[in-house]
Amino acid sequence: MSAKMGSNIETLLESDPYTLTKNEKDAIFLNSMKEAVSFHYEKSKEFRKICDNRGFIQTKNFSVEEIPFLPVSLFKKFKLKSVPDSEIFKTVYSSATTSDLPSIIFLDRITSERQTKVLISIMRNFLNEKKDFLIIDQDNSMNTLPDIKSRSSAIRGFFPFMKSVKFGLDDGLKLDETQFQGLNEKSVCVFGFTWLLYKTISENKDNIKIKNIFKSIENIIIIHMGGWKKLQDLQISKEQFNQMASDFFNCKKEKIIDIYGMTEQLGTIYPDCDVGYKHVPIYSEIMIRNTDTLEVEDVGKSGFIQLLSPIPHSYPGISLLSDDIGKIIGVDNCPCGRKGKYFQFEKRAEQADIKGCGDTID
Amino acid sequence: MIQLTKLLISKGEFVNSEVTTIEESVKAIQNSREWLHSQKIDDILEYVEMIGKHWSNNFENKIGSNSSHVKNFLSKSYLEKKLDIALHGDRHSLDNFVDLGDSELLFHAQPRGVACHWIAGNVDILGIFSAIQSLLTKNVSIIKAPSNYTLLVDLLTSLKNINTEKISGKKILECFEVLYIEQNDEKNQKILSDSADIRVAWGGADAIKSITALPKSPFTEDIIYGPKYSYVIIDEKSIQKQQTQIAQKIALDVSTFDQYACSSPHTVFVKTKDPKIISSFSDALSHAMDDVERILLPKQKETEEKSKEIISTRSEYEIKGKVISSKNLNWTVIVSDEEGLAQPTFSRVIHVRPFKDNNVILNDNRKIQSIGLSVDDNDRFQLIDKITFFGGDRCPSLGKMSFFDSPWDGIFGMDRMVRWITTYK
Repeated sequence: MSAKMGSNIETLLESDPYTLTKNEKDAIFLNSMKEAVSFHYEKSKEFRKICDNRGFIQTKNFSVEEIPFLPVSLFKKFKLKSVPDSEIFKTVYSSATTSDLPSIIFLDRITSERQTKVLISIMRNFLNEKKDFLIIDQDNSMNTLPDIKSRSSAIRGFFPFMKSVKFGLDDGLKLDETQFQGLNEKSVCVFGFTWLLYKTISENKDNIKIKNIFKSIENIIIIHMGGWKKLQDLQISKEQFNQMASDFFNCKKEKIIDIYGMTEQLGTIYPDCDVGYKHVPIYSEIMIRNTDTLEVEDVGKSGFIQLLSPIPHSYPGISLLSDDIGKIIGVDNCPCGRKGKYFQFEKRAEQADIKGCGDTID
Repeated sequence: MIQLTKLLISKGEFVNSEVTTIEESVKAIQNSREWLHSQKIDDILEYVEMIGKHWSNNFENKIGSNSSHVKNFLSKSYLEKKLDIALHGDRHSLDNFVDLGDSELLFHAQPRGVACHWIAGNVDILGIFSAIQSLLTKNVSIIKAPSNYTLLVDLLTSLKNINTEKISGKKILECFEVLYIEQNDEKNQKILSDSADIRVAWGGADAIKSITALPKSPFTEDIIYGPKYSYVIIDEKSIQKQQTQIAQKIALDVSTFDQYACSSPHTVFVKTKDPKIISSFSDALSHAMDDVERILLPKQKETEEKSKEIISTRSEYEIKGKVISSKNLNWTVIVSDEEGLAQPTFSRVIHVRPFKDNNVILNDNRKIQSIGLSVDDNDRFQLIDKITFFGGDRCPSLGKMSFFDSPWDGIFGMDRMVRWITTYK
């Protein structure tokens, strides 16, 4: 029903990601969310139970803030679907970073097409043209291991921006120097997962031959994604990472784009702008929730990042509370010129330690 | 915040100074052993009663819901009984050889020497009880304080101002060295453990594992408090008679120490086949949780990590059952048909489940500590016998689950703190 042409959601997906001010966006976005809420309330018994338990009445008028959120951990515990199994054509697994279990996301064609559409709209705003990509990963298109599959799937999302592709690592995730020969001397986009880039840089920081290759390239952009969990564990800050990446790849720091996003809401990604902030496109909304009261925080105050988007169709992931801590930096006034909210990711909340003499039951 | 190893109380004074080694404390505490040994137990009991009164008058708010219990527990009449029971019938065995009824032998309880206490964060008052038990059994103490040591240090420092006719507070305070040792400071943790004649450890599984792994003398006695799990059983009859009062008492048990104590309940089993009774009781419990939080025991600020866990647990059970909660994260009542003990979330998250014979009684788990009970008296002793055959150390009445008692965790701590000397009659 929500996938029909002329629906609020489909109209929303036709819009430019960052041209509307927050006020201009709010009504359009709310209408799309209402359509999505209504659909998932009807189709997902889990979403319906959560709404009912919280006293949320979807038939009444409501604001975006009032839409019940699902913590992302639910995707590790339940197989959440809003469409019949026959419509599921792809299953996506998150990397199991904060627990042993990965999130499992079931995609139908509608969701997948929407994701591709918004991913292209968003990235087109950051990459004006197709680039020669050097992917700091193994060529893993045929690999079926879940973690590798998940990386491979994310890489495929960027195919529309690739003029050519080289994979810079071998099957053992070690540098494959042969792939670094014959790179475009004008412009290269280095692409990869944050932890893998860090690993590669750390292992090769004294490799003068490779560094010289990058010195001979005029314009280098680095795009990295996948989160900061592993680097947070190693106590490597974003600034430290950017300095290392800048030195190794001969890339200006403002050309290093960290992409924030999550498997539970693929497509709506949040790349860094030149100023270093992440922008909320028209296809989604970000709110910051106080970690004690769960109230929505004002600009500048840190809390859990809540992500809302009407894009998920096959699963009820339209309002998610992430494990991530961040803050809204401003609205409509980023020096980069993009309109809407912009924010900063700060850290991921980890597993809590047990205090006192109480214990778990195993 | 990283804190360095510190001397907090040493040689009868609050010092609060950073140190590289705790060796001086270990030496200093030896100086008080003979003095403490020479005191009469009845004089010490009189002094401890004064402590209870002083703390109750001056630290009531800081101690919280345990305040009246602290005063009661430290009263002379109460501790006389507890000591007599723990020491096989006669507390004066701490002073002299006494006749305990053996036809040939007389008995004398000698202190073991130095008791080292590892006190867990969030339950510092429970830790204080083990320090008092050391004093009663004439053992001097070195206390490794948790990172939030303010209340512990304030309480102990106040001993200096408490004097009785027979005992000076200054001398009593000299029987306690209080330290903060950084978690990764292995060197000083080892010195502490090596110096112990008694190791008293409060904490969760990881903490206990790391403490018991420290080197110790073969003659050192270990007294382990935690890691434990507690729950409640109530029946239909008691709910019908006094639903509100039961709910209030359970809310108090859950909220004390923000549910981080080994004696804090995480599951309430209701013996009924009527789901309406469970539903009505859960509503009453949620009101009581709210009242306790607003009026008696405001919730302490939680970490982002714990908030995340509470949100996750709430959502999971919104799907699997019913969740009644505060708008913020202060308290959560979770009703479900699930069997067995709920995985604890801590931080005032309480599960209400129907009681099915098998789920509790056949839970062969030595981790169980307190089983709070409100059931028909005709069933009570039989039920307790069945349950505790597999696990469970105490079955207190509701509202008193976290009131420290002797025995605790199935152990007469004061008995374990002495060596029994015999001679012929």
